[in-house]
Amino acid sequence: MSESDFINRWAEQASDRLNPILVKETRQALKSKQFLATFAIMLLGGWLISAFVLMSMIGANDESPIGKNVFPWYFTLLSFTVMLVVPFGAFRSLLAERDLNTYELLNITTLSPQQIVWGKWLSAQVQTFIYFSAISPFVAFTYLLRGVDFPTLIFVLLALMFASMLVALMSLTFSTFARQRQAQVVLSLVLLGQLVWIMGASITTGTLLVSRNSIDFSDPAVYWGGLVIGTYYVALFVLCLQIARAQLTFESDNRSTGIRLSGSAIFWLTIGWLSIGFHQGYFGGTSPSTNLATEPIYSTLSVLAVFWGAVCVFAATETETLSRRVRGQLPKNPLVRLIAVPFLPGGGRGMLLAVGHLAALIGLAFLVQRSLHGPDRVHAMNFTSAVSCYIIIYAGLAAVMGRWLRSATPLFRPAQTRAFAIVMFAVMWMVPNIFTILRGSGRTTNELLYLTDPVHSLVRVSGGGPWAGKIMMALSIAASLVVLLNLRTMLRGLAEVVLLREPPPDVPEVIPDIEPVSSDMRRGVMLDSAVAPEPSTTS
Amino acid sequence: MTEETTTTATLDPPPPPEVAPTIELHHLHRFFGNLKAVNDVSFRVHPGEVMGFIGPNGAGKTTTMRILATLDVPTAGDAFVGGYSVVDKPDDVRRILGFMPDSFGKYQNVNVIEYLDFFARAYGFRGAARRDAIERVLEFTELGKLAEKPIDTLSKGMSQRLGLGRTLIHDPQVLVLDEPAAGLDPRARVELRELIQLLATELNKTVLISSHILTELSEICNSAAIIEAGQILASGSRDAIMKGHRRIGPEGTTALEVRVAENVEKLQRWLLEQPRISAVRIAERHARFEFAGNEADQAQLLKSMIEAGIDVIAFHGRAESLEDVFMAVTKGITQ
Repeated sequence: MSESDFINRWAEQASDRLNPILVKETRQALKSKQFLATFAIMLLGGWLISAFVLMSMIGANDESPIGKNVFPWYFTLLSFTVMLVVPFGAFRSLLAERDLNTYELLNITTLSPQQIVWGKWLSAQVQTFIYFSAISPFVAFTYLLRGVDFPTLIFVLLALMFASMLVALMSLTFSTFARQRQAQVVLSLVLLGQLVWIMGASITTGTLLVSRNSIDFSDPAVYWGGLVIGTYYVALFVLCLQIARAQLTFESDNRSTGIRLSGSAIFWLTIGWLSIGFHQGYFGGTSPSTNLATEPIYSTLSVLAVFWGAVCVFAATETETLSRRVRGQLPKNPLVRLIAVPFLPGGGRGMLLAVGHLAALIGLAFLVQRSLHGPDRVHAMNFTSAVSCYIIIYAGLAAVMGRWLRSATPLFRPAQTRAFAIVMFAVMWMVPNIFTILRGSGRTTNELLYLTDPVHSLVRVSGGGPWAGKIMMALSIAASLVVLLNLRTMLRGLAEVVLLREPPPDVPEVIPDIEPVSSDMRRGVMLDSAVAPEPSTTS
Repeated sequence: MTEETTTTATLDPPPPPEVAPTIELHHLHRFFGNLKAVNDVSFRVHPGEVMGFIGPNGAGKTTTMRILATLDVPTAGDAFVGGYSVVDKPDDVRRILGFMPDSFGKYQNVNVIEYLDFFARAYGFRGAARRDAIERVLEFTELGKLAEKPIDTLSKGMSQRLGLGRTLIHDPQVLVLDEPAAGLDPRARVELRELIQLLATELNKTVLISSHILTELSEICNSAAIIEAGQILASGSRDAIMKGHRRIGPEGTTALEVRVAENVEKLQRWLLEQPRISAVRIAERHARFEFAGNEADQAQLLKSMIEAGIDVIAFHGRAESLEDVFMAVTKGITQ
């Protein structure tokens, strides 16, 4: 066997272990004019910049380091390819499957949605790797020109690579929503704008870090910061992957559990980092601090509230009944099923997810409050409770509205309910403020009239003024009422999983009763290529 | 594959109903808003059967086929492929079903062998199994000579062959082919028809095929389902459908056609005088009628006709076609 035969055989054996989409797209990329043109432009740009620098150095008496001045050019070139060309290519890659009528061919193979997403993402990463390999010699050249700190240089390049990986996955996730031609055009423009912005931000940040050598690697805060960013990076990566997977998953399959679990992980990650930060800030010194630094807590909780509110609205507006397929995959142990309830598809179970997490958050805030001194502890507790009430109210109202709309017409799907809910919340938010503007005599003294404006009410609650208690009371009553409105659905959702009780459909009966399928028919005939029975595992 | 084998391939009648069906649609419904694209569709296809799925544009053929291929979910009802529900077990259905949609999806910068290689990998074939699968498909579709050719340069006929090859790459027991002959020239159509016949006769595949070209379907199908406005109007073996929807003639008669050189009125008068002849229909220089008698009686009828001075230039039996049945049962309803 010749050496080339051996290499070919080895390559083929290795390719058997790779994702089929990665193999196919790498083959395509190597023949693609777009890839070759981008690569050529990048190399040409690198050579031109180098030639220009060398020419400017010839005959110059100034021996000051110029690495800092040259680095931004190479970095811009690299950022353009890995933060704009590659992510947009990943976005287009999935859209092209729909345009070329190949997506359905891909969909009916035995490739799982996860494999499709991974394959597309890995193909983008192969290109990123090639571009990085091409630009590395030029970056090394900037180090030789002096003035650039080597660890900072490596850090910035690594950060860019990881950022590119995440942005490529986000772009891919974005493309799973673009099914119609009009949506594709709109989303392409939106994404392009976002990518240009992200590219600009990464160029600015990278250049600043290198030019100022501003990272002190001996400072432990750098590693703590890196750890915080790293954990969120992984969590966000998994969430994007789960969203993309859900978008490509068959309708009767479980499209919710992955997103719920990832959302929950980010929720608890935030609470965990908040707790560590709070502990370090409050008890980190020799004696406990008398003042609680509430701003970082309020800011973090506000960001968490927006995120968790979105997760809860998504979960609470799903259709209620589990599909036959998901029901068949439920764990056999009732206790495991009980634990799994909030993470299984269904609006009622979505409300259980929302209420369960927020009750735990309020409980945690209560425990923290007991260990503190000073007035801020009460305000922080109230703020946490008020934020939780708002999430319950919004998610619960969206769930009620979704059920009502589905009962009015079966055409209403969860995605439309969510869009309706967002519009409804925006209107609720704006109404008291528009009323104030129309009155023309400033704000009314009754703060309860602004209850539908969460920003206004949360500022009042966190400030601890005379209206804080009344606002808290009103929010608590409203949240309780919304929970009561959803209680029946929540209990049905619980019973469906724990007691395996099938709830009535939440859409009107539009089709006459169909006689159930006999077991004989379902068993049918097993063909030669018999498939192993699907294991009954948790979703 | 030789010319002899392709031309001599004939289809057996469909298996008896007691054989478990490979495809079974059970009160399938698919609504898009107020549009009832598929409305209570039920039929069965048995192993080795080639069923023609016939209907006008917008009748619900493609929607039904997409549900079978697990690309869509029914609003109500269910469909089973090899005993697996398309709703509950789509992954298992995909392993045993090959679907050829009406539009052929072409990747750019990919040649024939790379295209098949990708789908073989996507169906989980590795190493020698993958190479064997590609070899088998190239041989069956006779695309070996074009293995290195970019697929976007293939003719329509060759593209359809490649599409069929892709459908067969994982050796599925069930094939669902949506308008495979659309847009093909006559030669490519005949070649594709022969390939499909081979699939049923030699490889014992179960085939559900839709087409607008009914004469062609009638040559390769041993059963049919006629759909209009989302509802099945007739389904079963081809003979049963023909029998069930004859427009003329009582039970036990044979449809005959006689062409004369001139004076068709004389033929009509003579036919109407004969005892065992009914449902006489006269057209330009030929007559169609039902005759109650065996082949010997038909020979005697021809002899009498000539003796009566009628200038017969053609005398033959006339089988009712799928097209006739289709025209009889459909009402031209569009949704």
